[in-house]
Amino acid sequence: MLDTVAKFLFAVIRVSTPLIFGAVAACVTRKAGLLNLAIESMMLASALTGVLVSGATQSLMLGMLAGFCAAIAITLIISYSSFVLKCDLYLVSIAMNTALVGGTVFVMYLCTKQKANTAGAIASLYVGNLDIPLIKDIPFLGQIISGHNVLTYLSFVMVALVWYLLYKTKIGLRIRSVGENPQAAESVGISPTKIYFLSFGMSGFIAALGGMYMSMGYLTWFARDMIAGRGMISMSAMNIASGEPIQATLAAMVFGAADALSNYMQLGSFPSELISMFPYICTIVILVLMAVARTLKATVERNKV
Amino acid sequence: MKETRKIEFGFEIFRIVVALAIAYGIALLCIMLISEDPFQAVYMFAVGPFTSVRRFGQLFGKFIPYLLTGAGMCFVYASNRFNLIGEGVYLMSGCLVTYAAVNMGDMGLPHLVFVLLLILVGALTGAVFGSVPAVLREKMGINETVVSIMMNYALLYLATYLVKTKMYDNSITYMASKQIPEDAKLTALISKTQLHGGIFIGLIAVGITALIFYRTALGYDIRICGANPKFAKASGINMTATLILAQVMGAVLAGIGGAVDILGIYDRYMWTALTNMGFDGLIVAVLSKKNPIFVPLGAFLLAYMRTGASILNYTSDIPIEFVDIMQAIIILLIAAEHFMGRYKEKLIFKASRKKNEGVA
Amino acid sequence: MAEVLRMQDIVKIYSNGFMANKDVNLVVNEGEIHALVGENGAGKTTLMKILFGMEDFQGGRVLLDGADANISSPLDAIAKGIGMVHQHFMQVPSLTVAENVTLGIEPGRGMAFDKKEAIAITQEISDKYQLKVNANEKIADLGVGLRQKVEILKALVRKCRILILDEPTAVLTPQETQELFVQLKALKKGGIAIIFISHKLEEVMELCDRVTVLRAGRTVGTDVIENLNPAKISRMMVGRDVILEIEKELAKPTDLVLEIDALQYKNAENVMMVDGVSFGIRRGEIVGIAGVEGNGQNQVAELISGMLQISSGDIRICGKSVRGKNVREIRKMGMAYISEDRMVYGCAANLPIRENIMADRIHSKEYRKFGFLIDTKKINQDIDKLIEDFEVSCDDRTQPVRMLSGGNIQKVIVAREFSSGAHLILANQPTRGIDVGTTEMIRKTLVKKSREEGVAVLLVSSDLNEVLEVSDRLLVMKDGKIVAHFKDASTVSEELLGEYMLGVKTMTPEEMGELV
Repeated sequence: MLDTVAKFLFAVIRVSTPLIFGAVAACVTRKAGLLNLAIESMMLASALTGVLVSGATQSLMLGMLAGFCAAIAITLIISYSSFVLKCDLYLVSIAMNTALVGGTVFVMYLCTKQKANTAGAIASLYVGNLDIPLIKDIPFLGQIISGHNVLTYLSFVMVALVWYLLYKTKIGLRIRSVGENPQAAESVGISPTKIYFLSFGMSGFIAALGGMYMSMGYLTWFARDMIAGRGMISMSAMNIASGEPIQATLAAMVFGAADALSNYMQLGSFPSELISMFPYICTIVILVLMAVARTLKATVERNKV
Repeated sequence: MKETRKIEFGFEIFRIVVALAIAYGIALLCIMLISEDPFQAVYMFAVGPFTSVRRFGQLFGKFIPYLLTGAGMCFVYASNRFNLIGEGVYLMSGCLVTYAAVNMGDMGLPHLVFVLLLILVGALTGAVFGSVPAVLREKMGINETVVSIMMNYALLYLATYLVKTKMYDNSITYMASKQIPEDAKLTALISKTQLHGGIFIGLIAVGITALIFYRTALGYDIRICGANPKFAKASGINMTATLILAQVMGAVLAGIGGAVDILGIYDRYMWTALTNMGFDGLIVAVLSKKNPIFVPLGAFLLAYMRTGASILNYTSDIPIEFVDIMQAIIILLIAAEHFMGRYKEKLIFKASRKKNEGVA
Repeated sequence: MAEVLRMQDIVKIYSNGFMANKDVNLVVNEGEIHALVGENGAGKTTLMKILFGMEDFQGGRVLLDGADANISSPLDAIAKGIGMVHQHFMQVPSLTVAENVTLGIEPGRGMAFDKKEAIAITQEISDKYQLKVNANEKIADLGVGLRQKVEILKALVRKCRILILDEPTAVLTPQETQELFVQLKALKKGGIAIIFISHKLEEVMELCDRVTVLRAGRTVGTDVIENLNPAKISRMMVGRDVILEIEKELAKPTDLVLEIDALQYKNAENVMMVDGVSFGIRRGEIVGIAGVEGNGQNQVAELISGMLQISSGDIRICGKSVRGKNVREIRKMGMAYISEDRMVYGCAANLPIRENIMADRIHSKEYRKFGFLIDTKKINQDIDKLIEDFEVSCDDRTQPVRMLSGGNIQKVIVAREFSSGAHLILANQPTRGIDVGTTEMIRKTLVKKSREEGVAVLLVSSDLNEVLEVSDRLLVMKDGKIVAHFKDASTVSEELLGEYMLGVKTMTPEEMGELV
């Protein structure tokens, strides 16, 4: 029994990893005042590019570098069209997501003549697992937290980094000030547009890690539509945490647990679809509760005066 | 004055044409790159939809639901809300309509009554699920984009669950519902093609949408709320009701779209992933510049592109997916206010200078 | 005392041809508090925007310390030692004082933000000038007075030598104002030149060393405070330029249409904007409210129209209270409203003229056909008639409003509001920034409406010429209260009106009499 629990918790961490990357990526733009609906496309782009380039060059380093570049290129397209050409940000983001679902399949076909996945076609590299010395020997705990992919550990480091970036650095201060009052930031010479570009770029960088985890860690190949809504779940994890990276990580892990649970349930007779619905329904319910709390607070405050 | 208006109008058309041309050019380039027989491939993509009755029918099979989702998204887009619930509603409507059709098959209803009843089921599905993000937005101020996207995924899983538990056909090997009774289906106008009776429903829906937009008080309200909400408030328009209604109407049309599609060209319900139809509806609305009168044009363009791509897909090995890239480019270029904006300003400036010279 | 700033013969013409500054001169010395006063639209803000690098100008020179200064942007202005405290604070509420103050010039090595250093810098300057701000507090937890000090701190930390304060006392309580004055005097001792923009003459007299008066874009004069008194400044500020006479018969007011009873309104920052206003308007009369902008007149109009919610007191239209009603319901009670900001609240720029005029009446039964459709033919006829009656120059009724000139947009708006069949018309700054022809048409129509159709009109305007010419009775508001009431507006001189508006004089309740 204890063994099953440990295995399950291990799986929770494993499936939560891309969600954590996505959620903290969404936090960065949220703090700049923008909702990032395009995490999905950034992950897809980096997942495919990482596989293709690492396969072609047989260098993990170059592969990952290319993955980052791909995701950042997506953010540049989004930023340019919405902050310079004044296209609706949501529209561009959603358009990007659909474009990348198809676009990655197209590019995959171009490179491998395959339409489903790159499994047989490309000998791509992947990031390995890490056994943590000492901890791995602790019973139960070692089973849960040791032996994960390096990127999984990096995701937790990333949470700390993003927190540090947002709350302890000059650039974080500027991001938060633009998010709250762009005019105030502009009056002291901070260009909101630059900050928007920058925060989307950083968001793309972090989301790229999530994408590459999917194709170079969780799996070792790229499959069509392999992100399958994870970007959207990440975005909602961020949303119910109002952009705070640590809370967003917790939310992402709760959603990850639901995902892991539904994987387990598929084996049994219980309908796994109902569990798969959980993150989505949960988000809506929490958003409603937050709105109710907001209204109540406003009423209380008005009555105080 | 008149000059400026002419330039602006002409310019808008010019911009759409340029956007389409750029996207089309890139698509052709993609085909050239990938194909072993580029000329045949380009021919199939560009002319393919018109080479046989069956293929032309296939184009209509896509055109019909685009009419409905496009008209629906006009409501949403014109009220300046980014509500994507059409996607989930489309799918759910397909599922519930199939369920109803399978279960009511032996009631012996007359064909027309049966079909209309099923379409009503689709519309109700749209109204019920579509009202959730709309009400949450207008009554509680919750971001309708986030809620609608979340609901889309939830509805996808719900539909899959329903198929598995309530409608599963044990006699087949893949995941699909039981067969839709012949009596429930929309009659093909040309037999063995996808051009079915739903086209009348689609065109009527577009007509009604246009009528609502320009010939009813609600349409005035919707357009005013979308154009300037503060002005709408100051002139005493009931914004909450108007905006909820507009978004629900959009969902109802998407629901009808799902019903018409499933009854028109499918034998069973078998959608296991989001259909993207709601998003395609948004593209149609963007192409038609929120004006329902242009929806048939936008729907036809998109259907033509999609059909060309799918013909290409089964006549050669080229994957259909490059159309997704094309779509994104079109949306980007058409919706970007500042795309070629400087050029427009120059034109207007030049015209007004010319006019002033004429006066002097 | 050395001269730090000289603005010489400044000419500013906006792209629409409006000349906001005509050969304006302003000289400010080191260590003085220099008042810049003038009516709304006199050109003060434009002049300060030029100084702060927010606007370019067509003629004249700006000299700092006797040398030409090319101030290209606000950032450049800050770098050259000019600081500005805007009326709307440029602050990020969730950040601390220190973070706000050092935003853009954050201390710290490399990427890291050195919070301690930021606090130290902020606290040092705060203590040096005795601003008594706690650098560690969040802006959101501070009151308006302290937030203003944070703005001053921001300028001081950036080493400003010239500090512009744009109506700083408008948001402050009397105590806070006194505190601010003490601190400004301390800054002055530190050698900083302060430009103080204000309408409140008593404050100018108390605080400032010299005064420059602007009127209609020109410098009227500069003098040391010892040679001036409030009445003198007021006379310099107020004056008629374009005389547009409106002929009208004597009003014959009948039944009460609008009754306002002890009306109060607190804004989101908890400032009492309207404080116990009571008055009434009868059928067939025009009541004007004059006042320097920001003294609550605009809020009175918005409270009547339902755009703002009443804090306490009551407003009745034809005997029925408007409390808890929304704009739609109040419009149904017979109210029409020409809003102050026409592009935001008055029209939908991208929609045709027809839609803009129909906005308030599209649900009316007279335009209904077959129960649910609208009668397009009748609509088109009516719109065409309105376009003709109000002489809107346009292609046709389907032209988007944004393509019209400012005057024609306002004609579309008044065409709607004047034809809605209302018995109460609120006209809030109805002719601001509009050509003379349209202005005359709008004023005449207001008079015609009241005389021929017995409409009750409330006119809120900061254009003295307008309130004096059009109104039958005239109220003056200052600090959210009514401070004067003239039973016959035609007997009032501008000088007298100016003295009430600027608080030089105040009427007692006995002098005002009944306000209906």
